[in-house]
Amino acid sequence: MIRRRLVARSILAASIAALAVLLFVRGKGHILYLDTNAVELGERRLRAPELSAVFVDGKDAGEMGRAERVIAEVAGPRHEIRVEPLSGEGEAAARSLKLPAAWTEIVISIPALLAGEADELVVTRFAAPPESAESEPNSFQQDESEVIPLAQ
Amino acid sequence: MERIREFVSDFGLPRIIIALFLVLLFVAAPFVGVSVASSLSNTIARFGMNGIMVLAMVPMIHSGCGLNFGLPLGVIAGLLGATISIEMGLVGAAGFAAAAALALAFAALLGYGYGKLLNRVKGDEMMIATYVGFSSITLMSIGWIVLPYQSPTMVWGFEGEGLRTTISVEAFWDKILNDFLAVRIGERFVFPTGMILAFCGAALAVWFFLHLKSGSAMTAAGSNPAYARASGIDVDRMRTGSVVFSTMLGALGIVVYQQSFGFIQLYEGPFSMTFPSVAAILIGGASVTKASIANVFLGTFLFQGILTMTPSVINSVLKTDLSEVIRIIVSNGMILYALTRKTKVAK
Amino acid sequence: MKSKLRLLLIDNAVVLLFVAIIAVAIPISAMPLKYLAQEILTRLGRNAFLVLALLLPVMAGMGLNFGMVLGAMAGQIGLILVTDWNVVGISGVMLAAIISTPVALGLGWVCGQVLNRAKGREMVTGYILGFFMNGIYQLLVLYAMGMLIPIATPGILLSRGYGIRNMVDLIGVRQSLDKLLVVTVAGLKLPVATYLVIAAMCAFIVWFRGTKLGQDMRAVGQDRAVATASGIPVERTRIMAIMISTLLACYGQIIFLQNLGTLNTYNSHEQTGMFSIAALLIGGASVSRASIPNVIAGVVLFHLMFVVSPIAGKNLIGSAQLGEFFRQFISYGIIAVSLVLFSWKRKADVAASREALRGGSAPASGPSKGGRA
Repeated sequence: MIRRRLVARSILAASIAALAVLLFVRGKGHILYLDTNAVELGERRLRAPELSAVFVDGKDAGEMGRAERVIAEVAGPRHEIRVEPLSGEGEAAARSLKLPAAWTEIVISIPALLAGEADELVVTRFAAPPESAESEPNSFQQDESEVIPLAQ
Repeated sequence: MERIREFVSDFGLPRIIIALFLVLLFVAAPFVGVSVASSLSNTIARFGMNGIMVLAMVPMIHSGCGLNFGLPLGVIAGLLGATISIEMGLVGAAGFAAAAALALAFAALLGYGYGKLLNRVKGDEMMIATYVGFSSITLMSIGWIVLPYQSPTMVWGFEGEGLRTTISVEAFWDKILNDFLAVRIGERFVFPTGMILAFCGAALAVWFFLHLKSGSAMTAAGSNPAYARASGIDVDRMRTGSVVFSTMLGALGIVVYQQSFGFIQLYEGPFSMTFPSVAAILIGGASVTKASIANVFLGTFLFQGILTMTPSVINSVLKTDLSEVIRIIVSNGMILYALTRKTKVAK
Repeated sequence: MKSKLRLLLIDNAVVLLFVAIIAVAIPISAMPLKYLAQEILTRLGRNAFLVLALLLPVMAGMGLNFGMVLGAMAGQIGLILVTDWNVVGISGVMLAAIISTPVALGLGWVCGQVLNRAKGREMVTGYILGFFMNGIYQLLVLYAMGMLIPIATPGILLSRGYGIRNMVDLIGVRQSLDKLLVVTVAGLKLPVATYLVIAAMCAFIVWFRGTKLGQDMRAVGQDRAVATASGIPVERTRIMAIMISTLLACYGQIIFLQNLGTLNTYNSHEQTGMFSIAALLIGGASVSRASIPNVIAGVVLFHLMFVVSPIAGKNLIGSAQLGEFFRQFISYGIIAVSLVLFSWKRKADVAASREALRGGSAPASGPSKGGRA
């Protein structure tokens, strides 16, 4: 009797945990930096078309020239990115990409995608440029949302 | 060992912790570059500022009305007294005396009604008092806007109507008690003799009140209403009397506070007066049903000491401003402790 | 017949009073009715769940659960974490609910334990407990987050590197429940999904009253001594009531904040308790009796007043500040008045039952309401 209850409870706990993981993966918001900068792969140098139209999940993300970055926000693990060269260089390509749930900001390399490179080369984690040391610790900067009103 | 345990249970563990904490703060102060003399001076000043409001808890606890969460009523009476005194343009001792006298008069009036109300809700006083206090603060906030005050020091200029949120008493009776016979020792230590004398005077008044015939009748009414009734004491009258007295002390307390602080805080100001006073008397060893003047002195000193010392000492040790959080946890934790103590006689 | 009508009037005096105030205030404010209707429909979705959280403790005789702010804090912790992890949309809302569930249950258990040690003054104790926990909450959010609990998003941290900002933009989960299913009727937008959640909650409460635990709670609420005598574990039942209430308050706060879209890290929860309790009381509930219709009526009336009074105050006397104070005065005042009324009523009941005993005519069936707190 007690054992059955224990089993039932652990199953419940496990399924809630599984649900939480599922929700995390499904709801994880990603900021995609669609990037047309040229990429160096050993000897080869991949360049983006002069002008291309990029679609994320069928939605127009905008027309991009070379060496540009466009931001698109998506949620969930898998997204289809389609690139249509408008300047007549090469064929249109569409790829369904898997985004790691742990990464929030992700760079999608358009040239690598067009060249049919492996996913790891297309999807890379965005490395933020090191921020300038803003302020010494414990100084309350006067930004509206930084004022902490403490009552009671 | 046995005796230590007895002492701990008698005195209450939280109280001992707080006292040790304060001692620790004073010991640590010089090592982190905080001046003990000025800390002590600040503590004593705040002790005097807040003492009478803490004293305002005593009569009501004695008559069995519980903790006086209705302190804002007294504070409002004090604010009325102070603002009317300024409106009349009285300066110096006369101004302060007028403020105090008016405050006491208003407090007697409000306290009478408040006492009558509390007599009809025996057993539920604390929660009702809290909300009666809060609603009277907001009602008075409407009053501060609507009442026909004229004095240019108090009324907003062009933008807005009604009284200012903080009014300086500098031109009227700033620090009038603090500076009376003040003793200065060394560079950083000032003893505000006048204010402490006022506090002691009020404490003496409470002491007389409790030990005269009417006072002991009141205590009887509080500790055992049935017995008191049987011996011919009018319990309700005793309770009303204690509430009036408490409210008057609250009113006097805020006027003393204002003269030391230098400002009158209207509108939401009174909100922040109640909990520190309640916490202070509890830290001093009072419970929901028992309180003495010694509790007031000890508690006010301990609590105000911690409030003065934590910002300076803790902040220089931890390099962050934890004092607000500590204040919240200590004061509310203390009230919580008093409310949940098992030893209390069931109502 | 006449006395029955009088009884009905007395029972609903508070509701009628507010209907009257609002009936006067709306024309003064000169606000378009359609705007008001939309505003109320939105606010109903935003607040009803929170107010529902108050019902069970009333049933268990523990009065108005001022400790509900504990649940609200738990919900906010969940939302802060979800915002940090950038989990968006309805998944974010649900994930926040799951994360904060154990926190809310734990806090509810603590609250129940504390209130069991303060029988007879649950309300004031719960109220102080709220303030006390606020200190702990600040310790957690203002110091531990970013220091002990890793926070990856610098945008929600204070510039000193730890502690959450005063305002957190919940852009990711903003109105994701409300916008899940929107139906437009006569130009008014109804957040149907939110309404469905609220309806499900109402159904749960109705069902719960019929369960063994629900019956126990009612018995405990009626008379603790009798309940103990009939073998009901009183303390445990009371803890359960508070735990469920805290959990519901936690979910309610999440629903509330996803609608608003911004979290006032250090203030949002403080107002939650007072506004919910005032709304319930304005809806005609008392300390010992509260029902689902009270919740709905209360939210509608309270928020009508909330929306109308500043503008009405401005039009009447030329001061919006005045309307704001009036609104606060009403919130505090209504709580004070209902507490007073309840206290009188209880005393009258006790006196009546004593009278009945003295007369000897009435058997023990006289209502003994000593069980409240």
